Amino acid sequence: MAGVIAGIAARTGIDVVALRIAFVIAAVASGGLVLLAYVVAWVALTPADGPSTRAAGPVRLPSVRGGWRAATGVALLTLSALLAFRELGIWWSDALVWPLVLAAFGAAALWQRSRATGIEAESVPPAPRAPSRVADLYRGVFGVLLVIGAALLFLSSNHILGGLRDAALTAVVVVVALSLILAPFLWRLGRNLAVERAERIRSQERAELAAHLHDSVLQTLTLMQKRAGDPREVAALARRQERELREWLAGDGNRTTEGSFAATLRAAAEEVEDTAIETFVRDRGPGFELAAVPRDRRGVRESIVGRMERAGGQAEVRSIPGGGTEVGLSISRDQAAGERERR
Amino acid sequence: MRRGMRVDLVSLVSGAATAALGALVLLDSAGALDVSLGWVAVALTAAAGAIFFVSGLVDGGTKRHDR
Repeated sequence: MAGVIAGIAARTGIDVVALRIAFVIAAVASGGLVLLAYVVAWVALTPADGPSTRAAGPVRLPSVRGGWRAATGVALLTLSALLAFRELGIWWSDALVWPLVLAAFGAAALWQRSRATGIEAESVPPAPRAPSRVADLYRGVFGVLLVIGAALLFLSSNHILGGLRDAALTAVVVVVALSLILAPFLWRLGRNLAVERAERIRSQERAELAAHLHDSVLQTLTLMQKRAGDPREVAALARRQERELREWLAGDGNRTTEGSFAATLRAAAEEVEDTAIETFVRDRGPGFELAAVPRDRRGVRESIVGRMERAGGQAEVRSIPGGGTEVGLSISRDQAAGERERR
Repeated sequence: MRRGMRVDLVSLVSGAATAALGALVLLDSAGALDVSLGWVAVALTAAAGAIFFVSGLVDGGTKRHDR
């Protein structure tokens, strides 16, 4: 209200939400004594210079290494103050205060989680170490459990839970029984899915490797056989293939010489802004019978059709013996993005 | 105290909290104080809270200075 809590949070680096929750709990449990302390602090403390502490507070906790320990300390000190108030008789009722305490900590955990997500989305200022998704999930589940526990404790303490208890117990028993029955199947299903995914990835990698070897090494070897009578040409082909293969193995296979056909094609591809692209390549060669291509030949099946399918597109090869060959390639951005996500 | 020697604040607070708890138990044993279970809980949570709080503040302060 007067910025006292936000100022203390900004000064100490403790999360402002944790401090505010602790303040509300202590104010309720103490019957207003803490409010008096707040007013005293409001008068006594000097306002901070510079940017508003209200704005500075929320981004502190993710960037402070000992933040969780300080927050735990605040929680324990609040608990200690509550127990002291209880011993002194300055107390509302156990049925009200303890559910309130649980709910407050649950809400703090949930608020902290959603706020951390918001800070990451805005990226102002960027957090030096973003919390992992697993830790974020645990924090969310912990917060939900605390709030549910608080609600149940409140209902139980006020004897409202009697009718609900039987129904809840029945539901819990059914859920546990179903879990026991389905757990092995679900576990096996999850494991099979993981194995299938790993196998699919391996298979795609093998296909990529085979397609690349076909387009590079096998083509070069064919050329070398045809030009076996020219040792200089064979040596040049071998050198070029060796260099290309080394670049590919080093993970730099996309590097192309400026001005080359590959570089021009790549530059043209980068300028494509449409949602889909179709390319046709036609020659006036002798053509071939598509169905007559042996099973062990991978040029059309893997290097063209298979590669396009793995990228999320389609390839169609039309060839007539004596009438040339036409290859149609088509791919859309959505299909390509979907295929990348599926991997 | 020698010049240049730095005080470890967390250890200091931990030692003070433990000494206070020990004094409380000692006074209770001697009959000078009648400490109930409720007040023991208050003292224990306060001691643990103080240690955590100072530890977190010191660590956070170190981190801020490191930047």
